[in-house]
Amino acid sequence: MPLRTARTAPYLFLAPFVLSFLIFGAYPIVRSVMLSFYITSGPEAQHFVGLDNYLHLLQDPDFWTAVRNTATFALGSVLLQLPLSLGLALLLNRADIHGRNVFRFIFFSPNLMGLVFSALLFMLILAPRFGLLNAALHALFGLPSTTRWLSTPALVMPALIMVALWLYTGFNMVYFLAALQAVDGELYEAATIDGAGRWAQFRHVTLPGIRPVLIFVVVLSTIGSFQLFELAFLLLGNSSGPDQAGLTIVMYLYQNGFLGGDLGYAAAIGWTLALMVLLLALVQLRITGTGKEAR
Amino acid sequence: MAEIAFRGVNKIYPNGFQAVHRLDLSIADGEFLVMVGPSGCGKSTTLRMLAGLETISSGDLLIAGQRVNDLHPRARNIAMVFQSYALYPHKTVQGNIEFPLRMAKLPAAEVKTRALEVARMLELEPLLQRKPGLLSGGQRQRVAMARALVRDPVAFLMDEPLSNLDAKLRVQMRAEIAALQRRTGTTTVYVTHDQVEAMTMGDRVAVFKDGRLQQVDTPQQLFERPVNTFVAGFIGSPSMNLIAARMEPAGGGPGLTVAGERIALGRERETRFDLTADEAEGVACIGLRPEDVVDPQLVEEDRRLHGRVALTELLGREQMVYLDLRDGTRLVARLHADRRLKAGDEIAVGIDPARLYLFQADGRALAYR
Amino acid sequence: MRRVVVYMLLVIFAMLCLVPIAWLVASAFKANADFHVYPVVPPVERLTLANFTSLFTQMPFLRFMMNSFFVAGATVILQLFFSSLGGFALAKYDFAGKKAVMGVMLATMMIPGPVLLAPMYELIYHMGLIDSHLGLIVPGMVNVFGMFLFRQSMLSVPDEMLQAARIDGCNEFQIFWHVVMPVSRPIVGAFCLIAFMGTWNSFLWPQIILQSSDRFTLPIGLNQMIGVYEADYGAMMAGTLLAVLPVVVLFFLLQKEFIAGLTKGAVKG
Repeated sequence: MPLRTARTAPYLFLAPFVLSFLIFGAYPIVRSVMLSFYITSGPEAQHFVGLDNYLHLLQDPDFWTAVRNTATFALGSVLLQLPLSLGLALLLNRADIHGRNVFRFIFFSPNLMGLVFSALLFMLILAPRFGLLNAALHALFGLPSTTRWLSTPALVMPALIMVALWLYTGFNMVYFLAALQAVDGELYEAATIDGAGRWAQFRHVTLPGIRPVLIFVVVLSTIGSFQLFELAFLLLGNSSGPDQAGLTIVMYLYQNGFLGGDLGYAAAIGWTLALMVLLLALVQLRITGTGKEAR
Repeated sequence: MAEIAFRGVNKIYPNGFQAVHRLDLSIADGEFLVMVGPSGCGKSTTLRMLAGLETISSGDLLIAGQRVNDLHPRARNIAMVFQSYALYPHKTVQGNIEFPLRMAKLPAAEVKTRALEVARMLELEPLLQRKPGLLSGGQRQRVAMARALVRDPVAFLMDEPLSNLDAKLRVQMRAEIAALQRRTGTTTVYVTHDQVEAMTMGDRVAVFKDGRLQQVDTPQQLFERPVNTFVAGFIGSPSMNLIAARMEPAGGGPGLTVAGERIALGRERETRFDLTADEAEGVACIGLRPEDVVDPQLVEEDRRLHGRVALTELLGREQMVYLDLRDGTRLVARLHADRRLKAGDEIAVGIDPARLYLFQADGRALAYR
Repeated sequence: MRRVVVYMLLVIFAMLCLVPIAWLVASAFKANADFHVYPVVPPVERLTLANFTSLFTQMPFLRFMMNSFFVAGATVILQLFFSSLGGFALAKYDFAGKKAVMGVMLATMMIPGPVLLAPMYELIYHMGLIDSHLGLIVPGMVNVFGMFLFRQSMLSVPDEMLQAARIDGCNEFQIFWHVVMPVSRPIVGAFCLIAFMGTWNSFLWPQIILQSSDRFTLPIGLNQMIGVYEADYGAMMAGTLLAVLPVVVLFFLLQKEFIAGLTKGAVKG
């Protein structure tokens, strides 16, 4: 009977998903909370310590180094990427530009390479003696050709931010371009007639028009930046870099949990990260949500 | 003085399509001019050229005596109401209305008072803090008007502002816009595809077809003295009947052969046209409005057409009768409902020569007396 | 801004994007000794295929590639199946607990991945799936984002179409398979690309799970090699180049669907 199967159908369709979700989604979340109250050595031995992991975390200098590094990266990354990808999208959105799709593809191609393989590539590009970057800087600007990007503590973060910029600007640009194209052209015409110049039009028509996407990209970028791991780990040769300049929160989690075997501490780090990210997102939404209004 | 003049204006797009052909049109200061025509006739393009949103390919556009072809829209001091209103969705009603004044860098106090004044005029006061998304179609339309009004421009341009409203609202807004224009005395150029709107609102109406201005005249003149078959058929509802005909003497005088029947035109003074003129021989078509069809009893035998009723539509006290004439041509007549008719009836209708229009083969009307 | 300036800026940035990739391609054909001599591009005569041969002889590169294809392929198929079915159920049916299910899933999407690493490892360990491809595929079957993507897309399939199919005698699964999925082809394309890319490039989880080198996927394998064959830059670049090709090809095939799928949700946002 059609109606009867229609009633059970959705449950059946969702069943496999829900099942695997319960096992690999819901359960790990709960288990993660519990784990964070234990110290473990490997998956076999565990030892209850209550909130000790968290307390220890708060006083752990390495953890705070990681937080500092990660925050620097996130801040630098977002602050640089946002204007760059928005600016590119604005340029590309102009009606008199041909080959928009070609440009879009080119800007997006770094993202296609993928994080991991890009990291391997940039390991060589950033190499002191024969790397492309030093060679180019030397040829174009006469800068020294032996800069040790990945082995000078002060240069590690800038290098990481640079690579992240290369990877993600095009990706964010695609979002912005779509948002820009969704703004009603007539609004610009009305603004022109109302006497608004280019900048006024940007402020009063464009920005309000793309605000949801703007917020989306900023929040997403921040959350993503805070979870930095692969890029740093690979570029620094499976380590946290000189003077731990490249130690990130997730890397610290990895080191403790999977090199050191303390899954409990790793879980605690994970939750602390989640909390930070959540707070940041809320703050950002707050700021932009009740921000500049109609006028 | 804000007269507007188009002199030999052409608009040709890069792909070669010509949207406007040699437009010559003058609009007097304070006039309400309606541009009307079917879609694609060039009326919107002309309006946008006036606004500065489209470039002018050749010819001159003058506002208040000054050539403005290359003048930026901002500098032309005109205001525009778009078909979709183009309200700034993220600003309140107040913000929308104030916007042009803020762009003109007027002092804040003045901006506020002027905006408030206009809002009051259009009964928008209670809605000032709302955003366009929460307004009804009619309210949005008024906000668009307010935004245009607040600028005190030299001309209002309106691009089918009532098309998105339901019929009842449209009628109401028509009256409001007309009243507003009379009160402010600002030159207004109004585009619509609806000829009823054109006829009821305009001081003068400009009829466009395929990028060419057909006729610009007062509504009455357009109705009584259309210059070609297009204008004749376009203006007036229901449309004028346009039927092929030939001039041939009948009953000892000038006459027409229409649908296989002879119509005597009697003495020439009875018609609007000079039947003795040479061009009269070139008559290829007659025009007769459905409401101008008369009771056959009121005219002589040689001024009647005969046909079979195909369809009747009762309109209350009157009825629209669709007749198939002797040669199959369709004639629409508006008759009194008292006459009981049904499909298949053979009836006669009367022609009053004074109400007849005569057109040549190229569509042009004969010269009117 | 003048058109010329705009084009210039766009071209400059395009160069910045392409140059590293071009260098990758050039380096893959550059002999190891030449890296120090010709930092950018070697003259044409000195191009060589030696890197590729050493790549395949020095390490089980082909094996890495096979592994990657296997894991990515299996994961994508499973994800596609579960996510599309789930999205279909959420889009076109009303049932008790629907809001709750969606709410819970949405909430879990907000939790950053690293939180789950420890317990997942524990779980996989107890399931005996450490160092196996199943250990990669099975946890990867859950793609909540994908399910919502399908839901969003399937919402716009007209209900009348489903009703017509029901009248024509289809059971619910047939409606899904023969009516809704074909109509959803663009989003399927976009999803496959996203899912494939995600799995193909994934590093952290395989790094944790895989231990035997003959099970390694490309990212893990290539990374390993750097430690072992430190100075074999050429082979490294060759390997990276080959590793990137499948994704590029797939993207070419599915470009339009991908961009549309990516931006659909955000713009409405």
